[in-house]
Order: sequence, then structure tokens, then C-alpha cells
Amino acid sequence: MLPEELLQFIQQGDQDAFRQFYEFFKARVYNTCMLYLQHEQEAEELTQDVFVEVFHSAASFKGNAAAGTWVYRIAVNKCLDRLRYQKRQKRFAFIASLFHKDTGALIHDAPDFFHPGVAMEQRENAAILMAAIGQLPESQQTVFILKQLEGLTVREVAQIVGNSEKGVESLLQRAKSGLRILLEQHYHQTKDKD
Amino acid sequence: MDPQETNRKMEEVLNAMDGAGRVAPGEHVWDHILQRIRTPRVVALPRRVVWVAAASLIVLVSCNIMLLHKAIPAQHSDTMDELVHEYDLNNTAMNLGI
Repeated sequence: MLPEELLQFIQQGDQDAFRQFYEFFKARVYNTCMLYLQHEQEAEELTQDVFVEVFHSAASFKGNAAAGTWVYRIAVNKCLDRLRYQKRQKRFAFIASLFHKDTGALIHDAPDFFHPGVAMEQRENAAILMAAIGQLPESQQTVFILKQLEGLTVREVAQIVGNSEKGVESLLQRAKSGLRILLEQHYHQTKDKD
Repeated sequence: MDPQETNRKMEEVLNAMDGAGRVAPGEHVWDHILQRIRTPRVVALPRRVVWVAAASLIVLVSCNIMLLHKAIPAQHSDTMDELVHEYDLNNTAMNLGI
């Protein structure tokens, strides 16, 4: 059964259809969450949030886009919300650190993240890349993750982010040049340390 | 590190995620989802709505208090005016011998 058809059954509360839908999209959603949050446990929590939202708002799926696009949109929005929340927490922790020396440790400073799906010999490079992606602006980050890492087409990405295909291509170019600058800085810093 | 070496390294990093396999979440994730969809949903108001409502309430109460304070001296002066007016009338009447 197609995911769009499954959604019609999910609207009526059919848990078997929901399980099939989950099996179909679980890896994509989990992977997207992991690429954004760079934390396995948080990615699992957010995957739960995404599918609970899918179950409760299946009725709002109008069928204008593919079910995959709809699920990705929910996942991307939830990831961005969580990242914004983390940034706020970080800012608050910084302000608190000005007053309380003992409790002012900055939270959510992601350590080097090793994506479990990356081959062992590429893990170090992937960790550098992930750290650089985390520094990109939200829109560029989203486009880079969906197009380059998730392997979606420009058209699909455009539908998910609600932008034109040209807009997505331009964001992708900016993301790539932004990453080059960040990586260059990274290598200059490591060179200085050596 | 010379620029060529830096470029080569950068390309390697940019392509580091190529061919990375998708990983599936653990089975417990599905269990948690199932548990969450079976429990009745508590619809909570967004925090922003709560803040706006609280702020509106404070503004409303403040306005009422201000209006009340304005209204009381006005009433007071009205009464005084009436008293003075009555006194004048009485006084005039007395002078006229009424």
C-alpha cells in the first residue's frame, strides 16, 4: 500500500497502517533528526515526536504533495524548533554563567559527533563536516542536509522548505561556499596549533 | 599545510558523508510512540499565548484601577460642588429673609 493510502487509514486510528507507515519512513526521519541534532538519543526522542504528530495530524494531510514530503516537513520543523530551543538554553546558560560561576557550564555544546552510518575511515572527516554544518544558517543547513546528505532531489527539497527550485539551488551553493570557508578556517586553526 | 593540501583535505571532508548508510532507530522508539498515541492527548496552550493572556490581564486590571482612582476624586468634587451650591442658596435665602 502507498504511504498516501496508509495515511487515510491512520486518520481513522488504524494502528497497523501506522506501523507500516512508520516502517517506511523511520530510517529517513531518524537520519534527518540525527543530521540536525548530532545526538543519537535526542534524534530518537524527536523521531517519536514526529511520528506522534503524524498520527494526530494525519487528517490535515491534503494530498497536495507526497506523504514523504509531508513527513520530512514535520521532521525539519521539529528539528529546527529543537535547535532554536537549544540555542536559547545556551544563551541563558551563558548569562547565568556571568552570575553563578559554579553552575554556569555551557550546556548542549555538542562534542564530536560520529554518525553511526559512516564508514570507520571516514568518521573523523565526517565529524569535522558535521561540526561545520552546525554553524551554517538554518536555511542553508536544511538545504544541504536534505539535498547532499539525504539525497533528495531539488524539487523535493523545494517542496519541503516551501521555496522555489532556483532558490534551493542558490541556497545550496551558498551552503557549499560557507562550508569551504569554515573548513578553511578549521585547517588554519589546526595548523596554528601544530 | 600548503593550499593544495588544504583543498584536497576539504574535498575529502565535503565528501565524507557520501555513501553513509541510513541507520534505523531502536525498537524501543516504536514502543514509546505506541504508548504516547494510546494515552489521551493533553492539549496544552502554547507558552506565548499564556504570556500574552497574562500580560493582557495585568494591563486590564491596571487600567481599571487607574480609572477607579480617577473616578473617585471626580465624585468627591461633585459632592463638594453640591454642598457649596446648597450653602450659597441657603445663604441667599437667609439674606433675603426667606
